[in-house]
Amino acid sequence: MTRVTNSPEEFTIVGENIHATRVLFRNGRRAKTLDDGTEAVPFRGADGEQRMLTVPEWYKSTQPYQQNQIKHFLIAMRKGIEDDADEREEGKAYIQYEVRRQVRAGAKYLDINPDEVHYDLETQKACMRFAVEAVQEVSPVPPSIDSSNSEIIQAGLEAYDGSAGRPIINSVAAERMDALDMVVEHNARMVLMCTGPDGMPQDDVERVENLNFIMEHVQSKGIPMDDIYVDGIIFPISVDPRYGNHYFDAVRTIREQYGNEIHIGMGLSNVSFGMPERRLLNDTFIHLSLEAGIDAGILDPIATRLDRVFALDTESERVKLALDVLEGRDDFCMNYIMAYRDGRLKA
Amino acid sequence: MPTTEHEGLEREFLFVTDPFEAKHIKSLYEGKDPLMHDIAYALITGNDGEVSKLVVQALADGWQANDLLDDGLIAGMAVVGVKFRDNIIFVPEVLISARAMKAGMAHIEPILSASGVEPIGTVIMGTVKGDLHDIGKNLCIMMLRGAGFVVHDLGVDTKNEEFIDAVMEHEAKILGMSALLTTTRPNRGRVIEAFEEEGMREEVNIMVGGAPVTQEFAEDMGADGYGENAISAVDLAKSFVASG
Repeated sequence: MTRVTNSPEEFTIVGENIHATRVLFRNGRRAKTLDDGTEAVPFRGADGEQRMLTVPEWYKSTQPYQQNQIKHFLIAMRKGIEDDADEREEGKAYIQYEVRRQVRAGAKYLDINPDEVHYDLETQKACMRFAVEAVQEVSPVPPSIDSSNSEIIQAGLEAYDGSAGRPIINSVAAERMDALDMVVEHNARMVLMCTGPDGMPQDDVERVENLNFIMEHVQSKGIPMDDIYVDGIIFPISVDPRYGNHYFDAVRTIREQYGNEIHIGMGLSNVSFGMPERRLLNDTFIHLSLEAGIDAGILDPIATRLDRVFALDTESERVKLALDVLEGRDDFCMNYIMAYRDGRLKA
Repeated sequence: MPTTEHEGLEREFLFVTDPFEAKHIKSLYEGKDPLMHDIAYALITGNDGEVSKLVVQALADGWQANDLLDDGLIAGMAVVGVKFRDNIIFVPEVLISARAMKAGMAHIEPILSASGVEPIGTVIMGTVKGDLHDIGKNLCIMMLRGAGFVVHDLGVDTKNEEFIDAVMEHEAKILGMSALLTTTRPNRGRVIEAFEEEGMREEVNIMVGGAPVTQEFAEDMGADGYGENAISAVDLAKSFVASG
C-alpha cells in the first residue's frame, strides 16, 4: 500500500490557470459579445463589481482567434505590459480575480507560465514579471514559476518578493540542471521532471532511473525531501493503453523508494488529451494515482473538485469504463468511446 | 443527387458541414469506381482487414497502385481528418484508421517503389527532442508517401544532430518537424538554429506542425512553412518542390 493522501485537505493543489495557453471559446460559457460588438470576458473586480477583459484588436488577426479561441491569460499578460495604464490595470485585475477564485477553491500555490504570450524572449520575461507582481499583490499563497526557459524562470524569481512564502520552481530536469542552482540561490521548492538527459521516458523503469540520476545532484546540495515535487510525466492514454500503468507503477516505486516526505504528482490533465468526457477520465486518473501514492498536482481546482474525486463511485458503469481505459484493458478505448456516443458516460 | 451509391459513405459525407470542404471531398469520390468507395469506407471505419483484402483484390484485377492510393486510401483519410478536427471522432479512432491505411500501403508501396517512378522529393520527418507523440507525424508521413515523396522517419524524441545527419545522408530538400507538448515547442526553433550553425539552413525547406504551433510562431522560429494538418503538409511539401 503506497497511498499517502486520504482526504482532499492533505493534497497539495498547484493552481494551473495562469497560463498563456488557456483557452475560452468565443461566445461560449464565459466569453461574450457585447451589444456594441466588443468581445469580452466578464469577471469580478476586488469589490465584487462587474468588469470586462476586452479582446484587443491585435488579437483578432491571430490564428487562435480565427479558430474561435480566446486565450484569456495571454491577453491579460500582454495587456499587463502595455504603455496604457488602463490596459495594464485591466490585465492585472483579471489575473487577481483568478487568484481569488483559485485560492478560494483550495490552491496552495499558483502556477504562472507565460511561455506562449509571444515568441520574443524579452516579452516573455516582461509578462512573467508582470504576472508574478500581479499575483503577489493579493495572493496569500506563493507562486509556482513555470517556464521551459531558465531565463524566464529567473525573471519570475527576481520579481517575487517572498511575501507569501517560498516559491516553487517549475521545473528542474536533466536537460535543465541550471534551474537547480536557482533553487539553492532563491531558497525555493522545485518540481523535478522524470525526463532523462536524452528525452522522454519510455516506461516506468526509465522514469525511476531518470529520477535517481537527478536526485543524486539534488541530494548533494542538501535539499530536503519536503521541498521536492516529482512530476512522474503522464502521456495521453488515447495514444497507448500502457501509458497509465507506466505512470502508476513509477509512482508506486518512487513512493516506496523515497518515503512519505517527498511529494509526487504534478501534471495530471494531459492523460485525457484526445478523448471525450475528459473530466471523468481526469477524476478517475487522479483516483488511481492517489492509490499509487501521489499527494500533489497541478490542476484547475475549480474544474477538478477533489471532494468529487474522493467520493468517486468505482462501482458505477461510467467509472468502470474509465478505469478500463486507464489501466489498459480497453483496446483503442473503443468501449469508452461507444459508451460516450450512447450517452452512458454522463454523471 | 448522392455523390456515390455507397450508403455508408453518403452518411459519412454528412459530417462535412462546411460547403466548400464538402464540395472538395465529394470531388475525390465523384465518378470513381465502387471498389474505390469500398476501400475508402473501410479505411474511414478503421477496418484494416477489409482494406487489406480489397487492395489485394483490386491489384489482382489490374487496378493501378496510384489510383488505389488516391481514390481509395487518401480519399478516405480526407474524411477522417475532418471528423477528427471537428471532434466527431477521437484520437484512438484516428489511430485505427491510420492502421487501416498502413494495411493498404503494405501492398501498394512495394509496387510504387518498384515501378521506377521518380519520387517527387525526399522528406525527413521527426518529432522533436523531448516529445514522444507521433500520431500527427505518422499521418503526415503516410500522406506524403501517398503523394509520391520518399520519406525517412526519424521517429520521436529526435535530437538536432539526427535531423542534420539525416538531411545530409539522404540529400533531402525538405525537413518536417512535429511537437505536441507546449514544453517541447521551443525545441523546433533550436533545430533550426542548429541548421544555421552548420551552414545548412539554405539547403533545406523546413516545415513545422503540431498542436501548439500557429502560423505566427512558425514564421518567427524561422520555419519556411506551417501545416495545420496532414493534407496541408502535403500541399506545403509540393509547393517547396515547385519553387525549387
